[in-house]
Amino acid sequence: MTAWLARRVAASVAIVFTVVTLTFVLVHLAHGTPCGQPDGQPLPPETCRRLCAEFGCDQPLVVQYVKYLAGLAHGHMGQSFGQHRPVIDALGDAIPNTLTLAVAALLIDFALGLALGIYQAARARRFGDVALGNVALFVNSMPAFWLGLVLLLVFAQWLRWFPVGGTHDVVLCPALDSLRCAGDRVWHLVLPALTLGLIGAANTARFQRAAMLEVLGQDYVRTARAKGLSERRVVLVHVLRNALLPIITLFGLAFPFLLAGAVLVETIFAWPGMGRLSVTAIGQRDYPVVTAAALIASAMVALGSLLADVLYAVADPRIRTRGE
Amino acid sequence: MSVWTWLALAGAVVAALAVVAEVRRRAAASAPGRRFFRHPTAAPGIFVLAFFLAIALAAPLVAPYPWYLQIDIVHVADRPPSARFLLGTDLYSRDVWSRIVYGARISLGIGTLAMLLAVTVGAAVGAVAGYFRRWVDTTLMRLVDVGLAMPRIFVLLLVVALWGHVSVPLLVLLIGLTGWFGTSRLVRAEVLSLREREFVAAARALGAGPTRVIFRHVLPNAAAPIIVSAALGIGNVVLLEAGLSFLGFGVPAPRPSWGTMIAEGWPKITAAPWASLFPGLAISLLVMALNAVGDALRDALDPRKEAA
Amino acid sequence: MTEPLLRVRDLRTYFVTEHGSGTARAVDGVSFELFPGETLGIVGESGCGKTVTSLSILRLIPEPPGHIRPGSFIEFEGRNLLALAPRELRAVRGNQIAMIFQEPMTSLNPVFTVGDQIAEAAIVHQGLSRRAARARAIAMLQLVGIPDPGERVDHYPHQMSGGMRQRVMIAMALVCHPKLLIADEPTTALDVTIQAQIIELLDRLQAELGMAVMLITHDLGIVAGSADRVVVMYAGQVVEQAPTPELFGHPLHPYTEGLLASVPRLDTPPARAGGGGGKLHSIPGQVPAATAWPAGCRFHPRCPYAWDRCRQEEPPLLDAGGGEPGTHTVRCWLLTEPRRRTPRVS
Repeated sequence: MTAWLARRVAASVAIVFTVVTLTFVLVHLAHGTPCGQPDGQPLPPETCRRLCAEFGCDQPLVVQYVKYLAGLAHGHMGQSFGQHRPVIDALGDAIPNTLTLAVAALLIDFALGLALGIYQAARARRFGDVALGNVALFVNSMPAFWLGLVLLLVFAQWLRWFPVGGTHDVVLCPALDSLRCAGDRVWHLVLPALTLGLIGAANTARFQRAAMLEVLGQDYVRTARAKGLSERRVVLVHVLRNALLPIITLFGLAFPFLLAGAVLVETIFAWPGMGRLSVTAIGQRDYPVVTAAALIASAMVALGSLLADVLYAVADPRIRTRGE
Repeated sequence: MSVWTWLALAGAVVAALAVVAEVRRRAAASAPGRRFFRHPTAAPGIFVLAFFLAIALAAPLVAPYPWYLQIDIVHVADRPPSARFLLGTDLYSRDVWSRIVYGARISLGIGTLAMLLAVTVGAAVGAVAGYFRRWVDTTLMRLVDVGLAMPRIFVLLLVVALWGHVSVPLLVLLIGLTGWFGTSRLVRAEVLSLREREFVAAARALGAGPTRVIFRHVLPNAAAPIIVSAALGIGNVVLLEAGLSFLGFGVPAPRPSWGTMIAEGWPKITAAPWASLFPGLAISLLVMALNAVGDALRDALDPRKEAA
Repeated sequence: MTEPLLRVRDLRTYFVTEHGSGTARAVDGVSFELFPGETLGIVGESGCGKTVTSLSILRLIPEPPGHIRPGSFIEFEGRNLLALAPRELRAVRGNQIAMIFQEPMTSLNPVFTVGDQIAEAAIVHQGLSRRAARARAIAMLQLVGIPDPGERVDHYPHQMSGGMRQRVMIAMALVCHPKLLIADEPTTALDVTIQAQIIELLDRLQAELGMAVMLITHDLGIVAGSADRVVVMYAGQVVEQAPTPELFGHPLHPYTEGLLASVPRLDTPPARAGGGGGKLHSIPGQVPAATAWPAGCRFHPRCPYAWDRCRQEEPPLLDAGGGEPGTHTVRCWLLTEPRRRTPRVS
């Protein structure tokens, strides 16, 4: 088990490393030096000199690559042209916001999705199942940004139940210093998290339903009934425990979806996260920011996938005891 | 909307129904075909797809106005749906329904082309990896792992950031080249099991080289995951293209990509919600139909059901 | 005469098939009795309805597409099982009547330890604490002959061999000391040497615990060794029923005769190139589909003695005499016209 774990972690590291290399190649194909700007406006010479010293403008590609890696290891990801400060600082402000959004969406996704999936499996092929299944299919097919717009229109503009954007009320609660301000943050989080969470839940519900139905057809479910267990215990203990296993892999797949969705949803809700930062950066031709964001997003995806694999190995006794 | 456009619309509906009936008739002859239609959403899915295809092909006939025409920016901008403007007008006084009809061409066109590219590359890579195994397999699958680690939209954003604007053909190419990783895994799994079957040994005993064996013998039998990937893949591409166009990095305005239409309607969303709502609804319906058909195909072509 | 522990009368279990193939009448009027402490063997080929019969007793038939027809009657210790409320039925399952199944690999939950699965019935039915239930589980593992029970109790099903898994199933079924154990083809999925061990185990446990066993199998050898009485089923019906020595010594139904003749014997001369010697006997034809039982006697298409009456009229279960009435019953018109029992020239 530990040998497997070591190999799996090594594989993740290798993947991230390859992504870093590919990004380096891509950036170099487009722009030879860190001073060059697409629209011809040069950086101030002081900044340019400093960057060149750090990244080695005139030196062979391999040296530049090594310096690039060394820089990454220290958290130097270049200078943001648009914000005139290190990329790492700009991202440092943005990433926690994206993470908050992603975690909230993930919670909604799995809580709602699992409950719906279990309910649908229990009512399989009856009206509740069919109706919910069609609704889930529709929600799963919606563009995330469009759902965000609809929710914004209905709940923020027409009903005025929720705010139209931002993470918090900048006037009344500039700092997170009271319970009221925490509540304000949650209030602002609801609509964007719902947007991503609902679409994710629709997908999770479909998978969970299929997994439950598959398990319900197994022989050991019949054995459990033959032992005189209540139907509730059969479903919630014997069936669910087995049906949850494939759902863990969904957890790993949720990360790419959430990060991609964040790009669009953050734009709609003016949520100052990684996605919105990238989009604004493109408008300013600020490619160091976008590059760094792409790298971090990939690292998160790789991490999420690793977590899911580890969780699965721990949860399934058939894999957990393989070494014994 | 004139009489002729109403007739053309009716014609599109009738044509779509005819397609459903014909597909149903042919499918009844085979077991997978019957399994396909046992899904309650399969037939409606085919109908919606056929309808969108019909209006895309017959756009000049179905759309009452050209997609670029600003009818009367002083008087009919941001008008709600009416008899004259079926789905209302946008901020530039263009007919929303006409733009949606022409937009179907963009969505279906980009969707199909990018999907074809992705599925072709994915099937080829998966087949080669599954057939040759060993280091070829390991290297290719490592590549797939890397590809799956980078969220597709970030790659596209990165390219836009580095090179500035991206032309539509290049966009299709990039979307296709970033979307084959999942398909390759599925095809590889299928090929790994197929290569142990007798017909492969028979072909090789007759002197067939690897290329021939892969393309003429193995891949046709691995068609099931390829077909399902294709159906579901178009849906993903449509959503991705819409997102990029919404952000301004995809199909450029004034072309009526549904994503661009949503972006254009966004600033005026409270005054004229229809300009953003209907394009989004069109995207949802199209992707929903593709998902429904893809799911039904997956169950219909499932080899385990074959044995049951 | 002692009261029967289980009395089944006129059991009919039908299944609705998809795409209009009609209704499958898997069990079509089955009646038998089972007395305390005895082993009743139910034999027949696949498709005769013996498994469906056993599942019907505990009402484990999935309700769509199957259903037990009204008019069926299953009485256990004087109570009609078919009329019980769900909670009462659950109190019977695993507690008074237990069941073990054919495939031990898929019949055990892969994510729980065998100890947990055995203990579960004790916790649910007898309210034991987790500690006490675990101790009971270890004791049961010992009883069914699993070595190192203290360690094995924490193992998962996939860590055990097929024979051991079946022992675990038996332990799981017996933990509440049920009065009746239904064993549906308990050895079919196992190797031959393991089969003998499991049957021996069941015999020993029955003697020790004094319970009744309903042994369902297609293997006549097992029935000959373990059963006190035998019920032969064909096409959803009971076709012959007798004490074991009587059935093997004087089979009366042509199907039973055919089954017994099909078992290869060591003292049959081998086949010779020029003909003569013994070929393996087989019953011609195939088991009909449950959606279309033949008219009249259901065995008539495959029967060497059939005549007009067999084709037109379905025979009831007739008493074959010899001892108390009901000891040996046969569903065959030959009982009324014994002179017709002459083999046709094939």
